[in-house]
Amino acid sequence: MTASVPHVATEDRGDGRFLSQADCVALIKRANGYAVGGGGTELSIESSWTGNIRWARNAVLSSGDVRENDVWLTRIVRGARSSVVLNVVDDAAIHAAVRRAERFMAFQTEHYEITNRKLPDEPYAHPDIWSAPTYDLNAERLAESMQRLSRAAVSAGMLSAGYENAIFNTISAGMSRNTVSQAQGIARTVRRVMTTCHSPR
Amino acid sequence: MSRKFTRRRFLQAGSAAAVLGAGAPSQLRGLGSHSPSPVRASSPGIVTLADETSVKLLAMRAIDAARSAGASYADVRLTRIITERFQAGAGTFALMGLGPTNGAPEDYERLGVGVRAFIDGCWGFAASARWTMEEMPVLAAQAVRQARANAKASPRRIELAPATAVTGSWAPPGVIDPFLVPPEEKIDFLRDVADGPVRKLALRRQVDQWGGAWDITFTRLEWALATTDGTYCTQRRYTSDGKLTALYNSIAPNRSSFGMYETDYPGLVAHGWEYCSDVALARTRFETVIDKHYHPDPEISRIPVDVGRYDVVCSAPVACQLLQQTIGEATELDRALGYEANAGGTSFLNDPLSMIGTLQVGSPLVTVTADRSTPGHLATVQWDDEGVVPSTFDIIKAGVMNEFQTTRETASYLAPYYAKRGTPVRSLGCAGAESALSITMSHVPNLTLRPNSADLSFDDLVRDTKRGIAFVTAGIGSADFQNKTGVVGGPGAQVREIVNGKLGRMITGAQLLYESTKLWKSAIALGGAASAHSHAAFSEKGQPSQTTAYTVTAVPVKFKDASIADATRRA
Repeated sequence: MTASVPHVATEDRGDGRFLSQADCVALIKRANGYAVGGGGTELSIESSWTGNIRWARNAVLSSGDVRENDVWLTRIVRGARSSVVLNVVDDAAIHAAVRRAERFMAFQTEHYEITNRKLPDEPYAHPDIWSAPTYDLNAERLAESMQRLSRAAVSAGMLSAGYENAIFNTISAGMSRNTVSQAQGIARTVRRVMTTCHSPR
Repeated sequence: MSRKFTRRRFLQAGSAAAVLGAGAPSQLRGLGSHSPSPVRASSPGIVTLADETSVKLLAMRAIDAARSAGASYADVRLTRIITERFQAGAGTFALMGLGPTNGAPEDYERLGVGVRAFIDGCWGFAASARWTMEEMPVLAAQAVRQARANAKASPRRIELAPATAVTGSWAPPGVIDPFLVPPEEKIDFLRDVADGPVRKLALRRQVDQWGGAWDITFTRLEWALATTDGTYCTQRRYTSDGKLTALYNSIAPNRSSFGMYETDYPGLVAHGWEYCSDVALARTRFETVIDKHYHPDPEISRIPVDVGRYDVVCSAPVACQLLQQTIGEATELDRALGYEANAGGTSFLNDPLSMIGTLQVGSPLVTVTADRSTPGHLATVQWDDEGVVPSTFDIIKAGVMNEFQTTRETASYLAPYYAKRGTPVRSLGCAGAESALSITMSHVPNLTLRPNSADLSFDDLVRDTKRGIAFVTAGIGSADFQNKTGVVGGPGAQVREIVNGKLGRMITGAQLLYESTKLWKSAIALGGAASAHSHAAFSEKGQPSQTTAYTVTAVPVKFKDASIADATRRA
């Protein structure tokens, strides 16, 4: 049984800012391919891109562009579970993570009663909270946004401090057992603005 | 579904410092003489880089790309944080690592590379977890693009304080890398420590079920820093954090009882296996906490608090918390300048140029020193995250505001002061970051309240007080957004009356209500060096938020006419 994974064009622009749904499914399969000793391999993946700008005293302090992954990899053999958490998703890293999880399995107790536990087979949620304009908030647009947001404070002779960020991520979870993959996940967009105004002293 | 394992969440869960770790041969070789862990050696490499030369090549590629793209200054940091958490126990409870079943070892690893570029007084920053030659120019170009866009939108006239280029490697001396100890050995050791004391407890209590466990987390942080000024250095440090738990249960109808005791051991410290593996010390600590519960202090009568002004004697742990809440964050120059107005909070010291060197913030007894060099303390490094050798300096000197905590960026704000004093503008070395995935900013160094030269103890300060209140433990502390006012005490605090030089009844609901400068100006006696206590504290600031750890050390303090409020009173 193989879960159907609809391709969502708005989410996967191929610019590598964060893992797509297809990347996540492939990652689950790769992890399973490295597993030795039977059982299953569960992955929970959160892959994100964050663009942000931060200002105080009416001037930009810094802005950032951060790409990050959180991968929880769990090997389950006869009900014994062992997890490794990492943020690198290349082959060597995943291979090493599977080996470490299996190494730590030696310290676990087996629980046969949960041997056949499996995740529900669900399709990806459609990313209807996706916002293309937010995804296009690049360095220049964030700087312009900061100017707009602090304009009123500047006009009033006050000091503005603030922060704006845009976060895009894919959250996936899946289990592989031999060649069978199941995956579920959602892609989302978050845009957040926080500002403070205060007197010069 | 997300199970993002942030550092904060990890701390909230009652465990250690940073997060993320697992095992592969170190990618930052040359940081010490240890060979790779037997566990890690059995795993293939986590990234394709194999030696320090490769790491340096990555760093230099990023620096060259940033310089070529137009950065007037740039730095790159590569960090690798690995963490292992073990739980092991002894006894008949097979629950949560208590008893013969081990808790699951947890294993985290996080890589990071962050490039920071400076153009016309503005920073740009880009980071990811990809340690590849292709990734470096991508990050550098993005950081420069960010800085350029920011400079165009709001140029700032800031010059970075000069810094001498440094090269080299550093690791704390005498530390045994816990990641070189096989997990079997760690678990056997932990179980062994837990077994003896709780077995004794079980025999004395004649209980049916008993268990003991030690939950300990080891973290190793390795990082490389390169700058366009010619700095290239690598560093490594460790933290250990542990908690001991004992538990018993009697199920017979006529003697049913249940007890659970916990104590931090070793707490969060910047040490490795050498510190935790002292079996005699660990057992003693475990037995002490069990005995304390087995033979509790005689019941002390309780009285409600009578609000007003009292001479207050604070134990060293309470003084640590006060120091952290009043001076620790307030003397960070970026907070004083308002940079944290939208995030971690500002400072009551909000006019640095007119305050530095002149403002009386404490009594002449009060001197607070900052350092990043004390062995075993959490902020200790050889170089800060801008390659500056951190200074040891007096923040408060004989009660006067003497220095702010600075970085290369913020130090330039104090140029007029340094010019008047005839000294060059310089960073005091407070730059840091949670990892390379967070931008470098000012973080609090280790803080020490200088002890009295006389060898006075907490009991001596109490003995010298005719009528007053003693704060033995701090309970819940909090401070306002500027660290100008705050409280310690309230629920969970152990507060005692002082009558004729002796500790008396327990006072319920008492809170020490303070205004920072008035409090420290009222300090009339301090304990000596032998009464000092250290504990871990955390600096949380920035957007996105980041947290770093530091160590606070203080001695008992006696304050004159301090305000005592009733935490239980409702308006």
